[in-house]
This record gives sequence, C-alpha cells and structure tokens, in this order.
Amino acid sequence: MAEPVTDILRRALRLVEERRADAYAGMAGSLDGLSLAVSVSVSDCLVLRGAEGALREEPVEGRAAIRISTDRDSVRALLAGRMTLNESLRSGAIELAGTAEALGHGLRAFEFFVCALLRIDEAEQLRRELER
Amino acid sequence: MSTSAATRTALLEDADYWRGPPADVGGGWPHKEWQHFVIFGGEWTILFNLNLDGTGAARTITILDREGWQGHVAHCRNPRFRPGRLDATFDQAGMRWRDGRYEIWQHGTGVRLEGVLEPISTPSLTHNIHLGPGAHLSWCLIPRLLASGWFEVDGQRVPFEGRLAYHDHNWGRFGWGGDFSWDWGCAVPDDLASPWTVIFARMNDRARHRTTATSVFLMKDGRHVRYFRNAEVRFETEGQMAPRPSGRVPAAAALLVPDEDHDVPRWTRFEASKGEDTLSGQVEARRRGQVLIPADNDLCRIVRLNEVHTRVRVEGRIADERVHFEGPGVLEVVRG
Repeated sequence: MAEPVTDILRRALRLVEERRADAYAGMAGSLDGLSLAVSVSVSDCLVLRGAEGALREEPVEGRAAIRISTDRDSVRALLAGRMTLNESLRSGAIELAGTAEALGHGLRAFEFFVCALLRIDEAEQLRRELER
Repeated sequence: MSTSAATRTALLEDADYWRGPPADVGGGWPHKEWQHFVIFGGEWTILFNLNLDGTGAARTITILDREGWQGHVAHCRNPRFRPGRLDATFDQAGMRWRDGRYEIWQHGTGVRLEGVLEPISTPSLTHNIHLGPGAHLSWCLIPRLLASGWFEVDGQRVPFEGRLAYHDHNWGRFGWGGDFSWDWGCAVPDDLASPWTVIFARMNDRARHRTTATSVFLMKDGRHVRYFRNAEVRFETEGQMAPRPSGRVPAAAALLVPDEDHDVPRWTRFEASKGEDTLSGQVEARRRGQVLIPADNDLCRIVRLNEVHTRVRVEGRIADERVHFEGPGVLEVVRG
C-alpha cells in the first residue's frame, strides 16, 4: 500500500529542517502565527502552524488560515511536470482557500520548501515514493 | 591509427582531463566542472552532461529532443573520477576514454544511452573566461566527433551510427545566478561530407546590459581555420520563440518559474569579419527545453538553461574560399 502523501510531506519537512536551516526558518517565518491544512483524503491530512521559528503539527480540527485540498494523482502530475501549478489551480486539481494575505504567506513558505528540496539529494527518493 | 589521429589523441589527453576542485579551495566561488556531449541524430538531438556542482556532489543531465524535449537530472553523491584522467563514473552514468574514443553511458532513470564518440577534430583551450567579479571559466572544445550507439526512451531503443557530435569541457570558479548570462551555440552540416563546423558564443552580464565577450570559431576538416572575437563579431536577435518550453527538468523546479518566458529569440544572427575574411550565421530556434538549476547565491532563485534545437545557415569567405553550409545546431541560452 502506498505511503500517504502527508506522511511523505512530513518526511520532506524533516529533511528541510535537518539539511536546510535557512529554508526552514524562511518557511516558519512565512507561516508565523498562521495555520496551514493540507488535505489529500479524509484520512490523509496534515495541519501545521508556524510559531517561534518552527513549524509544529496540530490536530486536524477547526478551520486553518490556509487550506489546500488535492489528491495523490494531482500531486504526482505536478511533480512530473504534466501540469503546472497555475494549471492545477485553474482546473481545481489543487484547491486553495484563505485570505489573500494568508495565501501570499503560504506561497512564500511553499517557495522556500521547494527550493530547499531541490538542493537535497534525498528528496528525489521521496518523489519516487510518491509515484508508487 | 594514422599519425594525425595519434597526434590528436595525445593533444586531447593533455587537454580534456578532469581538473577536480583545486587543493587550495580558499574563499569565493565554488569549483564547477562538466563534460558535455551533443549528438545530432537528424530527427533527434541528445545532450549528455556529467556535472560537478561545487559541493562535492554531482549530477548527470540527459535530455533528448524528439519533437519536444524530455529527460532527467540524476543526482550523484559520490562521483568517481581522478584529476588528470578522463574517466568518470557518476552512479549509473559515466564516460571512459579508450583507444582514442570516448565511451559514454547512462543506465539510470529517464533517457538511457550508450555511445562511442570518435574525435575527428583537434581540441582547443580557452582559459579565464570572465563570469562576473571573481568568477571565471575555462573551456576545452572538441567540436566534431562521430558518434555511434543507442538511446532508449519509454522502452524503445533507437540505434544510431556515424552521427556528427560535439563535445566540450568547462571548469572554473563561479556560482549559478552570478553576474553573467550567455548565448552559446554550435552547428554541423546536414551533409556529412561537408567539412565545416561552427561554434559561437556571446557572454553578457546577468541583466544583459553589457556584453563581456563574443567569439565565433570556424572549423574545417576538424582543424581551426578562423577564430573571430570581441570587436570582430556582432550579434543581433529578432522575434521570440513560443513562450512555453516543450519540457523542463527537473520537473519539480518548474514550480518556481513562470509557466512562460521570453528567454529565447526566434532568430539569432552573427556577423564576423577580420581583414578580408567574413562569416555570417542565421540561427533559427525551433524547439526548446529548460534545465533548471538552483542559484548558488540566492536560496529562492532558479537559473534557466534553455536548450534549443536550431536550424543554422552559415555563409562566408575565408582565405578566398567560400564557406557555406546548413544544418542542425544547439543553442544554449542562460538566463535568471
């Protein structure tokens, strides 16, 4: 059985924290005081909050400031280059919700996250695991 | 082996070996180095690049244009090579120098490849090409080879034999994202019997407000017959390619760049003259892919290496001999 997307995301976050302190600090700073919910399926969810220079996982309850909803195939299409981020958003393959200000912070955190993973060799293995 | 081939082999072994990071690493920009091969297949073009990225790690870039670009960037944590030698193994890819020929292979993810490339031109070296403050690059150029082998994509193997190819080797100290950009290209004739090969380059600062160097090399039968540089060469461009590349590697890096850009002109033209000698080239950009590389000096910036399949027409007169050929080429446009 394939590993849940949010478990792979947790491992990716740990990699960024361990290997790219600059990017991790950028992510935590961008999300400072904000909660971010990633929902891939009913049982495949993750909520993060930026606080005191770190990202902490919180229970899945209430309404997060930034809400991302997608599915495994859409994430795979995005990472394989079959769809761009803009196309994914326009087609609804990835749904975003939140205030414009919160989404701006979320986008900045996302940029730090991806930039860090591009510089970490082991991230390629995580991408392959998503393909399973 | 003929005498000329033996001489060529000796020259090449003296010029094209891996340098590796200098013992005195000091401060400043990291050491970077790559061995780059282009094979022109007629209906397709392959670029294969073994690349030391300055951190001790390495990457192999293998991309194929066949009605569109595709490929893969493989990371290698422990590249195996010896400074002073030409052989190198980067995990499932590598190069070997045997009996005066390069052997290259890529057995990992993406486009698989095996090839034997026989140099049919003499190498040339250019040192200390300026790439912004404290940054420089050296360039070993072997502009014409004959390539045989196969590549495999999506389980389909395509053999090839006696195809024209290009090889170069760069090393130096610089960082991606530094104060430079470049337009570089090479072209070979459709007709294998035609003796001509041309290579051209224009180096700029990153914002392209200032051109720092230009060059055009013309080869005949594998020998350098004319080298034009700086004030002897003028470039101009016209139009723009379709704003969307046909493929980007690594695909995940595309999340950080706009879907569309205007990096590559539809036409690049150069005019070179020195004394009575003249040479002009018209380079039509046809399809482009992008290799996306994280900048060394900015965490959130991506440098775009546009790799473009081109159609090139070259005309001129050198030492009272007419130069004329048309054929495929590759144009590399670095931006970002």
